[in-house]
Amino acid sequence: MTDAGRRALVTGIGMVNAGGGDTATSWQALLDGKSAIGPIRRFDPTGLPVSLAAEVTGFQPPQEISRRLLAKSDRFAHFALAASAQAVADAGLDLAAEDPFRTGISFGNNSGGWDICERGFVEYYQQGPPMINPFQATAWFPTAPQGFVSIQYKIRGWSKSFAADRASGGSAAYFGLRALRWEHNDVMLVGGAEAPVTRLGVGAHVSTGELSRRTAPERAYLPYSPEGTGLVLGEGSAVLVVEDAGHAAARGARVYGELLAVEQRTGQPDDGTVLEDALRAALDQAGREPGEVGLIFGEGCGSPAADQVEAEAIGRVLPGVPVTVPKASVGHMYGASTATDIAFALLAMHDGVLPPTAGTQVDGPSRYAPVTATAVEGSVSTAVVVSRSREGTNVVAVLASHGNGR
Amino acid sequence: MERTSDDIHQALTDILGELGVEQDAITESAVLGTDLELDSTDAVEIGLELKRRFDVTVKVQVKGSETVGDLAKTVLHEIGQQHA
Repeated sequence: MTDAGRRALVTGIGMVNAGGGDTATSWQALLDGKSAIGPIRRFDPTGLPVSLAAEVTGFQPPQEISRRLLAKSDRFAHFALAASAQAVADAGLDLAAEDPFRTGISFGNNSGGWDICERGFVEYYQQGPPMINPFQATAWFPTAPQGFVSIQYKIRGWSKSFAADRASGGSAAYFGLRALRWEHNDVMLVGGAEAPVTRLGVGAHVSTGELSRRTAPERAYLPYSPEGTGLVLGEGSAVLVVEDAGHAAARGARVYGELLAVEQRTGQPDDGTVLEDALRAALDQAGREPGEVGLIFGEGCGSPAADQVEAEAIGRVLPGVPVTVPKASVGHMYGASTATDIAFALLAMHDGVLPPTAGTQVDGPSRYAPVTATAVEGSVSTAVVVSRSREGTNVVAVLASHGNGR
Repeated sequence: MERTSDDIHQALTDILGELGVEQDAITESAVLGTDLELDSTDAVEIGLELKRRFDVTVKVQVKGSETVGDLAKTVLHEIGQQHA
């Protein structure tokens, strides 16, 4: 990879999550310290050991998406279509005027489409194999959001989807940046989508051992706390328009900031030196010194052992830098989490504010990482986003505020 | 239970509506493949829904010139065969 190559600017943001159906609403909800975690309402969770989630309520797919396309696709693809539409509009990008072979998609998704799976299972077990709906095969699988978004916008450039547990979205960012650096494309839609909040979906996630079983919403997801008992599932999508700097300049695009580097390292999950390597490599690629980093968006999966490994690695490379975990507000969105964090990081730098980690005040000072309970004013020009999987994938993204890029 | 052509037409309207076809477009003379732009997966789904609702096996054609009215007639014919 030629690091000295092209610069990657973020020129559009779109998002749907439990905090809000668009970027402005989500961002304000995060700054207000509101948590969208609450009792599951979409289905009756009786009999499941987990009763909380961060659900998207009142979701309406954008009008520009045809009902025909929606009928063939699952909720997680609907989220991706909505976030993509927002991001493309936000970027002022006319994709019909772009070279379709120079525009691509890099999306993360961990668990596929559970709504359509439940329907398919009912058809299979209650009505018999010949009665399975014909959309099942193309609607459930993790590349479906990429497929439906590429159909919607007639995108034909180098595109990939990544399934890597909690780091699914991190891997998508890693390869999304490379699609520009390797000069496959000039414009990338980088992000992901997830919609695991169905009875079957939550039930299946329980077996990962990652989910908090607490019933009090404000105590359920406690990143970097010795009292953490796991994560709470979220749902939604985030999509970033990531664009070659020359391409952005040529069309006079408004710029949020620069994606300086994304590095990925894999090793034993309890070995913190792997994350340390990823952090140092990403900073090196970004041309940034540790002292320049003003804010970290941590993985903070809520499991004390994993969080301690992460916090100690961060502490060795970036001691004392504030850490924040929006997941405590909007739940863990797996494939959608990294793009959501990158978007929030860019907004934090733009607005000069460090977003809080919801629920922090409950545990007081016994945290492993320096998180805050309320939003704090602060000027940040370089931010780091960390994504870690259960099985040892570590992804680190480094971002610069607009005007502070390479 | 006796099924009338009105029942069939209503069922087809519901099924096509579930597939995202605009209600205004669903007329007797609308050609499934060209006018309603149905594809092979839609054809399979329509067939499955007709099986569920009327317990008939109908091959829905989206490649040729079959209309909504033609399909309704075929369904009605199959129901008649079943009870003959």
